[in-house]
Amino acid sequence: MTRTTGRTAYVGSMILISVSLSGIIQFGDSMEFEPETKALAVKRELDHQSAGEAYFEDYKVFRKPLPSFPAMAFFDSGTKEDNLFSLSKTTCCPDIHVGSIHVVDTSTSSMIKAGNGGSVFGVSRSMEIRQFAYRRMGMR
Amino acid sequence: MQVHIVNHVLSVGNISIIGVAASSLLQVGDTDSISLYSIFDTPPESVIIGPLTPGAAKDGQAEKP
Repeated sequence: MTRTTGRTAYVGSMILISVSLSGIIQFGDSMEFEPETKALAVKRELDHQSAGEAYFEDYKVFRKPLPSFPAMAFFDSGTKEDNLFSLSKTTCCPDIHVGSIHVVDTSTSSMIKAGNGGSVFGVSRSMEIRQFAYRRMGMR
Repeated sequence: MQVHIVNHVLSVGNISIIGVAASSLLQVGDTDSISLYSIFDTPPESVIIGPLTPGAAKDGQAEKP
């Protein structure tokens, strides 16, 4: 377990109108944050009772493996001698100042944070479809 | 490749945002790594006209877009 050494955040004021659907507001540090969103927006002519339920498993979007992101390895904190890529930091001013933050909406597994964090790994999968009932044109 | 970051004075007056949504993040502070994936699909064939709905079988037999 590595501890993140970061700057201290000073926020004068924070005005939030709405925090919903697993949205998070945090004042302070955190180690890991792994939000996941799955949304299936179905606009249907028939209701669920007559047309059947809709399931995430039926759509590729929700099963597709995530593309690999090798750049992540480059930015592992600390310098390793055997590592081809290294990241080092010098902090001249230990503070971050923000006068005020105004956010209207915070929703669907998102986060607003004043503080330092270890790692963030977020995944959002959403799909929007419309379904109409079948009609045979010109037939009785 | 060696990356060296120097943090000088950071002072922001005002941040105004309409929405933070779908596994996203607004952070005032330092962090090690951020990876945010977003997959959104509204295909042209998303208008499905048929006698059966794609979500009829839970075991995923009916393959959809």
